[in-house]
Amino acid sequence: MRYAMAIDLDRCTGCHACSVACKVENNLPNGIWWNRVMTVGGESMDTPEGKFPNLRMEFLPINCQHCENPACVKACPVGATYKRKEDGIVIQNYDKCIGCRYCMVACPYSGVRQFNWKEPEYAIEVAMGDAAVEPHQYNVVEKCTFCSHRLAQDLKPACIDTCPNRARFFGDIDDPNSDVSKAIKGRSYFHLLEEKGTKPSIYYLT
Amino acid sequence: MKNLNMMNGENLKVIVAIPHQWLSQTIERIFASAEVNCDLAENIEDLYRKLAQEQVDLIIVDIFSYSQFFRHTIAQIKEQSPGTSILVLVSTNNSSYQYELITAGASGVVVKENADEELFPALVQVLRDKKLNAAVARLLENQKQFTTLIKEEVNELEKEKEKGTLTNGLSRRSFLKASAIAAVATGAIAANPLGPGMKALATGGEAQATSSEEKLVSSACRSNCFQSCRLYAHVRDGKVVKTTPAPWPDEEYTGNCLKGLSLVQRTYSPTRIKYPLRRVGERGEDKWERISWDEAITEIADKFKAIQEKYGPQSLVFDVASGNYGLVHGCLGIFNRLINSIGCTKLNVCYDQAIGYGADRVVGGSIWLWGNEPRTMMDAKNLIVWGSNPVYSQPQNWRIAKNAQKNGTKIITIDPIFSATANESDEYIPIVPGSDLMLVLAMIREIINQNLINTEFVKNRTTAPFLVRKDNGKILRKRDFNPDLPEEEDDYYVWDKVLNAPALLKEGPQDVEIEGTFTIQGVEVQTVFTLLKNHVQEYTLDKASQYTKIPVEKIQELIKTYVNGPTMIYTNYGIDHYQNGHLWAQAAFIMASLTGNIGVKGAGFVGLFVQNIPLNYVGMYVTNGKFADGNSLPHTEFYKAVRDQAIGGKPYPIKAMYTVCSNSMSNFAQQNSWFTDVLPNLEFIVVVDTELTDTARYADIVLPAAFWFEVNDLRTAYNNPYIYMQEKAIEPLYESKPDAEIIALIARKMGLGEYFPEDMDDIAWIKVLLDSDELRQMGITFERLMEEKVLRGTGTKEKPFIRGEGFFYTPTGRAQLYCENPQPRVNYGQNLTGIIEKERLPYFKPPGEAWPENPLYAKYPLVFIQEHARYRTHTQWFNVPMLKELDPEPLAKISRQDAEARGIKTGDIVEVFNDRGRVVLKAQVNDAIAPGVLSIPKGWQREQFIEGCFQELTNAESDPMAVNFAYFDCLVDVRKI
Repeated sequence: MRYAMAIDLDRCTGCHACSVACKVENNLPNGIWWNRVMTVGGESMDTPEGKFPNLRMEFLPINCQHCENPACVKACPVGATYKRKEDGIVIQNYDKCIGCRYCMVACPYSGVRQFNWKEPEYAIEVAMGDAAVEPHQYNVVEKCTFCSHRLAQDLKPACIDTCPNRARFFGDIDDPNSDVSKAIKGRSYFHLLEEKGTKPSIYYLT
Repeated sequence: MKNLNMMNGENLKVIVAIPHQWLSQTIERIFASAEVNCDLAENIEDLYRKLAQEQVDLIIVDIFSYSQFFRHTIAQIKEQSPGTSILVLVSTNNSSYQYELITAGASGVVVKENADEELFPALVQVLRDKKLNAAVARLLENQKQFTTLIKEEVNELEKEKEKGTLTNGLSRRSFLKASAIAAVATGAIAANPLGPGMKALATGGEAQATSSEEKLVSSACRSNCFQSCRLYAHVRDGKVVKTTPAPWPDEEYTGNCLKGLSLVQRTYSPTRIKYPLRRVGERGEDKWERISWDEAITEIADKFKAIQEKYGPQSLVFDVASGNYGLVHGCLGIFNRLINSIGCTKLNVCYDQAIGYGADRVVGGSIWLWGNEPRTMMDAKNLIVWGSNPVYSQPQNWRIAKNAQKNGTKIITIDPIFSATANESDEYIPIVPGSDLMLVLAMIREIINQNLINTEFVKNRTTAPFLVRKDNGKILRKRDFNPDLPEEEDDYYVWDKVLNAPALLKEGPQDVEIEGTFTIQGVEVQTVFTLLKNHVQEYTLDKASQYTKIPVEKIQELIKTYVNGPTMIYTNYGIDHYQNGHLWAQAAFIMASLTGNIGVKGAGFVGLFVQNIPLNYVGMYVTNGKFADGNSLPHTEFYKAVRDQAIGGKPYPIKAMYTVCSNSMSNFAQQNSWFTDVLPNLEFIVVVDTELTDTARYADIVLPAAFWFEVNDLRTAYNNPYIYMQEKAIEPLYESKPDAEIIALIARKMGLGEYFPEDMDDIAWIKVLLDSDELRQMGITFERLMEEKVLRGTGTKEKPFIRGEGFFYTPTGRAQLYCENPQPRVNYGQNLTGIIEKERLPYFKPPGEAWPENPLYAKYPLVFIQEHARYRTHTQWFNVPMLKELDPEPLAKISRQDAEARGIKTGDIVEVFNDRGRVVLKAQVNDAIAPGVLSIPKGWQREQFIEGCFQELTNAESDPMAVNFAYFDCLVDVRKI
């Protein structure tokens, strides 16, 4: 089976609910975001391009693309990042990671891999999110895990059902009856940076 | 040793690969007691050797103690010995590998430190899977012994550790949160790693607790952003760890937004007020001393009593807004009981009143009951978003609007700026701020002149056929000719079209005239419709185009769309924030009534749907027959009244204030008036909140309120049709107390204990609110709510609620195209000369300040609006760390044209200023902003700006009828500094 995600860009309003849900679920340290929402439009977030009143902006949530042909896996010198055969999730092993950040260089999707430049700090004293989430480590790369800890409990990733626009879908792309397969069916879509040959598992529906 | 295995036909072979002797030998002893043969492998190579020699049923391996990569180990074992079950031991440090291990092929994972609890069940599970029932039976027999054995060994282990004889870092045994994971790992998934774990994932619906220790508490987001979302508070070890959307009976309403999802950080905010504070030093110096609750309550009660004795009961002011919407602890809650008992002044809320006030003139509903249930948008052919930005401020409503759009509804947004909603719409129509009134009046003129009215609707469901006296502007009634007639027998005159004679409405004439001038018994009258028609003739398309800067053809197109309905208007308070806002609402509801675009499927107004639930407010609010005065002191007059200690020229001492559910200093217009007029003249200020807001910083005593998750409360929703419970999820943090408890403490100290019994907690007050026969008839009871958490209050699943479907909330049940006797929303003694008559029909008057014809415009040519950002609801969430990572600082959004003219680029520090105040902040050049407009998304506190504050710029002038803050009715300029 292969896990994949579909994001319906026609419905996405760039509201950042998915980013926040991810941050809470995974107790991300200060400054770390595994799921960011980019604005395709003006220079700053939530600004359009064009001349008033003929304007337009689109939104692009980006997380680790869990590629079929991941550049990061090839770059990692210690095998800390690898693609799981059973389900295709690209795993980041915190214990093995030596902090060289070659994976961040190799990955063409700038920013989906985040780095703990210092000891992880948290804004509040309570650990947010799920108990099974791996603790964050200094000098280690981290990124979207497709909420593997939730998948282990038959739950979808945190960003899916928290999207108020119902724009996110997840499941086994090899299963025609999965949510993600049904979402993609009959829709036009694209992958980010297709020309790089990474074969991402995130489908952007247009 | 008797080999029971052989006797039962079982030949159970186990290899144990654990380098640490103490543990391997313990396991060996366990198996010995169950009479199972167990082999110890010295190292990994030894393990593979043994595997090669014979078939093994079970391997127990301490996998990370060997240097081989765990995946290779498991792969090799499986390759050599495909049927072997692999029970993997890990330590707490790498217990998070459990899922990886299971999917790599392990049958079970046990954390060594918890071996006394986990090993046994894991063994039983694995052996059961292999149908080694005899062995299982024996293990079960020896269970107690087994557990004791392990406990002994764990103690031994700790002794060894202390002695320093152990090299790897086994830690003291503790309850591991992942024990539930281990149970899962050795349960269903163990049998087939790629089976049940991969079954179809749940679609939507119920959120699930992710471990056995996590509790889901049914909860509410109570900020009063108009969405009333339901959420689950996930509680673990007595702490809320996350919030997720909780389901509603109608799935379309289920959802949260980023603010609701960030509530954990708001709950445990590092700047949360922990204990009662008393000011030391000057107000605003931010110097506090901690005091006890007893000290705080005593001082408050004593001072309240003293001030009321010295200056009169009205000199104490309760300032309650809409920051907290819970029926016990929030703005409609228990504080009303106190203020009524002492008969003090309650500030009259002066924001967001204009739209409802104008609508009320046409469809009744007392300001709040004009909107449809959001699901009705699905039936609209056209949705005009006019005066609202739902993508930011009502994202749950937006989802339904989007569904409607996908279903064929055309969405048009009319807005001075290219809002996020404009971005999603099928069409965007820019408009000059405050000119919306002219547009709607011109639309009415065209609709009437081109005969685009819905005649049936107009005749039967509006007051169009009523007759207005030319002499005094009143509607002609039977009583005009017979003053002694009892009221029940009174009736309205209309003109019978068939008989060409006057008739009375209740007689039910066959057909009525809607146009014409007539004389009845000597009294000259004209129909309401004729009066309206003549009245709007001056509002031509050309004039509208000139004022709004919308091309004539575009207005004609808009009219054509509007009448080709059903058309719904989505509105909230954008237009409300100009002094002429209420007239726009009056006109818009008239336009809807003329075209039959209200009270029918797919039409009407949406954006704010308030339910009319007959709760027992009386039971909560009424005590000794006294009442607080909620009409004398409107927010808009507040600073003047405190400055002058008079209202409308009459002396009115105002000496003390209690502020709750509000951040008044930040949200009232004309902020500098607090420094010049309010603070110097108030002797005593108490603020209740969870954070030190602007208002709290300038208080004398600040009391820490318990947050939403720390209390029980009840909520009747806005914008969805439910009543729902908020269950207490955690104890109040630090020394905070629920609002209801704070009020009760003060009340008792003021001698009102009889109305605030000690044994009344929030659940008891919820029972009081629900104690109503009408509610019981609706099937709404306390028991049902506690059980089901959510009950429907309005409409049905099949039929979402349409406002005004059968009748409007007016004396005749008809939409009133003519307002016979307009009254100011609040009468505080303002000068109304010549205004009342004018307001019978909507007419054009420009905004109070923000209009090019205002001479001030030459000095300050930018209209200042304060958009509502998606990150904050007014000033709530102003200090949430993760939201500040997304939206780090206040910004002045300037149009490209205006920025270029002033040499301003994105990132420059600028000053926005006018005669009332100033604010220094960063600039953002933003093409979405129209030339002539400047926007600072609101909600930031004073200390978050470089200097000054956005609220210094606004003015507290208000229309004398609407009595409403006109925040956007404001002119400014900006310069780079």
